[in-house]
Amino acid sequence: MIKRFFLIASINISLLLISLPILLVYYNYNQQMLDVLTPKNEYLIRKLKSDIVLRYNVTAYNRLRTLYVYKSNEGEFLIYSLIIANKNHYPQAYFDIYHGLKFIDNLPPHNISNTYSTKLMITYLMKAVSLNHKQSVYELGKLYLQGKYVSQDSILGEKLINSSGFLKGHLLH
Amino acid sequence: MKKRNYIIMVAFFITGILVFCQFCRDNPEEIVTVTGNNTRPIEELKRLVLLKGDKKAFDELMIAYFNEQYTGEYLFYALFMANKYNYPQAYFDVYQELENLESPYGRSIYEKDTRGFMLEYLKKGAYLGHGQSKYELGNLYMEGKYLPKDTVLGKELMAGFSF
Repeated sequence: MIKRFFLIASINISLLLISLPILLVYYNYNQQMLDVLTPKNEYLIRKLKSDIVLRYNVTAYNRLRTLYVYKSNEGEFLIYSLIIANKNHYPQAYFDIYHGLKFIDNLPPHNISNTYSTKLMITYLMKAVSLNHKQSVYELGKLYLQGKYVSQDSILGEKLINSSGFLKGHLLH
Repeated sequence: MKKRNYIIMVAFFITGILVFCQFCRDNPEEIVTVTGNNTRPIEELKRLVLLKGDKKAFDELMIAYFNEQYTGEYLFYALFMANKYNYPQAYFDVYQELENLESPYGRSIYEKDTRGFMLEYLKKGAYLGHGQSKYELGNLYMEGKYLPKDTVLGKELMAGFSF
């Protein structure tokens, strides 16, 4: 009886050991499916938001950011940029505040701007520039060239655009 | 006898796999977004605010956001209504949203720029005669919180407004 029990147990253990790699592959596949960031993956979105709000997690911030870029109401992301910028002094978040406030400014009705928003927008863009964030350097150069939100200064604008590493004229509309 | 052993082994094996699969499975909670007053869907309210600057929809959106896990996203709509439509309630909401976000931490999380920004919105709300903004601003002056203490101005602002 005991001999039979050990026989069954050993066969079962061997079977489990053989199937373990298959099960692990299945488990990893499941996890990857869960980690796919799509607008419908509410579970992951909630997890990322909670990581940003509670742990100021920059990785979570960057992942969530990629999703909001394609959202129609991308301005909703502004609050997360504010948290990460204030807590982590993360250059990309500074730039995103600028971008978020500019997004609101560009919404209709046009030609209506708020001085406080504009002030904060430029302050944070400058902060990102001081941290050598290339996209911000380019953006600030563009603003100086256009004389938008800042007083026009073509020389400084050109200088900033050249130093940003972006090709002159690239993205310049 | 051998057949019975074989059946037991297979049964054990299948059970093991089923238990493992159940363990691996993650069941995220189903999220249902409804508005607080159950009148209009939240997406419709957002659309009305952004396309028409609908103040009623904006007020309703605030209630709808009570059901959202991260109410801070409402900041975007408050900023939009304040900046584009000069809506006093929206000025207050910008301040309130930023303040609410900070409160769970029990300490200041904002740099002086963000702090100054939220106070400017509160002041603008008060300047436009928004009662709650006046009361809140008065309270800050009374406590000397974020602003230099000024009990006279604080009382003046708080006068005539009560919850």
